[in-house]
Amino acid sequence: MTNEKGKGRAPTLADLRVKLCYICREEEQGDSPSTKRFVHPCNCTLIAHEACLLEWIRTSEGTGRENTARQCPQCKTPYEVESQNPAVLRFLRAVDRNLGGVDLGFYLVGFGFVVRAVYRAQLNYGAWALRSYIGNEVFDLTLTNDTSSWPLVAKANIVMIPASLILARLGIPQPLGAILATWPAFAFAFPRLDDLRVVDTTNNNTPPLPVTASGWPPSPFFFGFVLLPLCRRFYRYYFLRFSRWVMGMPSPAAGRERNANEQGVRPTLLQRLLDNMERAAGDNNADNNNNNNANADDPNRQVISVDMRRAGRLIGGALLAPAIASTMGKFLLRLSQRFGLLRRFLGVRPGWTGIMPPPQLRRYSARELWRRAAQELVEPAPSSAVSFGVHFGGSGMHAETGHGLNVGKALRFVLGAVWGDVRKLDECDPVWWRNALGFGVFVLARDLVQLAHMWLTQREIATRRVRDRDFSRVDLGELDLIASE
Amino acid sequence: MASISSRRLQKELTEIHMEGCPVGITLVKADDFETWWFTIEVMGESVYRSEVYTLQFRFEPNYPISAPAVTFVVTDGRKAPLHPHVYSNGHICASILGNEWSPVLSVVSVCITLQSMLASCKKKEPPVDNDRYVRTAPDNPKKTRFVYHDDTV
Repeated sequence: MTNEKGKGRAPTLADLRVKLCYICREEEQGDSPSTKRFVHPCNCTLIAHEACLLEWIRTSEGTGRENTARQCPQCKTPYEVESQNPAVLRFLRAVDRNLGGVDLGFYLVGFGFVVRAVYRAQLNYGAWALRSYIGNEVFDLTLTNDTSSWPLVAKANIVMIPASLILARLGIPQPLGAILATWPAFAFAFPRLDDLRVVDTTNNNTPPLPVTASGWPPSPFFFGFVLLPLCRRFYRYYFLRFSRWVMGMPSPAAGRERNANEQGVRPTLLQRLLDNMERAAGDNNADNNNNNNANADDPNRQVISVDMRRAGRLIGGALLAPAIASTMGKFLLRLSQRFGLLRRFLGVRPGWTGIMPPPQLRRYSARELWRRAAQELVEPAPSSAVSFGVHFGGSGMHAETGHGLNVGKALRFVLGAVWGDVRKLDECDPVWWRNALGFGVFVLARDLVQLAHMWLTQREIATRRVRDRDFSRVDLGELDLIASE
Repeated sequence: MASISSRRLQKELTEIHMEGCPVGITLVKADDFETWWFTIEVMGESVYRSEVYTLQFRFEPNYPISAPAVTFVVTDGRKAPLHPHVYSNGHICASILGNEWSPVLSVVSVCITLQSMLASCKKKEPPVDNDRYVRTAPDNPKKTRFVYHDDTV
């Protein structure tokens, strides 16, 4: 009877008396209402719940046994899985996979800079990074190419730049903000007062400034210590919320994600996504266990090499940051030639080169500085206590000696000598400002692409369907079919 | 308990109780859905004749999606068989427990595979890198990255 029927058309899942999922071993009677969709994805008698099969396929991803999981364990027929897999996602995946190869390159770059960590290399890197960031003009005004003439503080700071960048990428608190903020001071640090170069404020030959300082862009100090940390915190918080909204995830896990970020643990995109999906699925117990056993999932997982590759990408990426900032800054500059508003926002200025000679810088020797400072100190205050001066010893001493020691004036002189040029640098084209903004734009763009990748991946996984086949290639005698009629 | 593993293991257990284990394999304990013990003995002519070994299965909550961690028990006087694919700490180098695991396999089918692995062995000898491996091996054999070099033994 069944044979006759078989001649007409091959039986399908619907004709089976009992359905048994080969994965979870749950049985279902043919006539009972179906709760979970079964599929017959191959050419033998094995059938399974589509959900079980998709789970099996999904967990195999990234472990090197995707191909084994995507075929029948018995007849080895490849499963046909359909999903929404647009060209964009395939492209992003290919890039992601091939970045693995680039990782090695990145890693070697990072290796070169960090492990080979000769002081020299770090210094050169730091100088290159700083030059990229603040622009040639300011760099030449303050530091020049001659590393031997740099003040000690500048050297100490610049040597730390590569490490700072990497730590920053890991989300570890580091002195990067301070470096970004204090670069103008590098030229005027105390340890090498002999090299001190300050604007001689008494010299009237100083040319008028091409553009007067307007208080915009904000000073590097304000930016490095206040604006940047604030923006970063806001950005992280709101981008995370935005991501969760896009991915349709509940937000209670926010605390956990933030912790992970702060500890510098940045799991791969897919892992993060899958973790989140598992978390969203509920079952806290299973989730915890999964996390504990994550590494035990597959003995063939190349845990170490994956970590190294990730580290390579991370370090390489961190060290490329100045170049990215510089490129983005140039891009913004070009863009600003079309948009006046952007131009004003970036505070683009003509700079010193061209008609205007650079500001005249004068060297004070340490001795001269102290001499001048002492002079200011003992000079009688012009109108007793009206100036900024703090009268040494208070009014009593003042009354006794007739004229006070004008500490304030002396201090002002020293500070003016030390920080005087900072104002001058403010008059330079604020390359650092547009570079910083440009890097921000880059970070936003990168995060958006990553989010799009995650969203597409999630949709791809969610839309997967295993193709169901009939039993035309199976010996019908092996099947327990529902009798027709 | 609503995890995938407990439902499936319950079915496997029921089957074992109803149909019994294959010859030479005995269920020792299966008190929970995390750890099961079996004894395994090679029947007929073999270098392991009349030697009984104890196998331990450890299951994760997403078994059978993830493979069970299977080892020979080497405590309380029990010993692992001397075999080129079995380390003296009880760890087993078998591809079906690693990258060739499939949910279609079951506890009993793993036992049978391991039984036949012992039965086909011609000469009792430890794995070449036994000492080195045992010194550095993780507690869970699933964390080891085995290289499956040879299918003949």
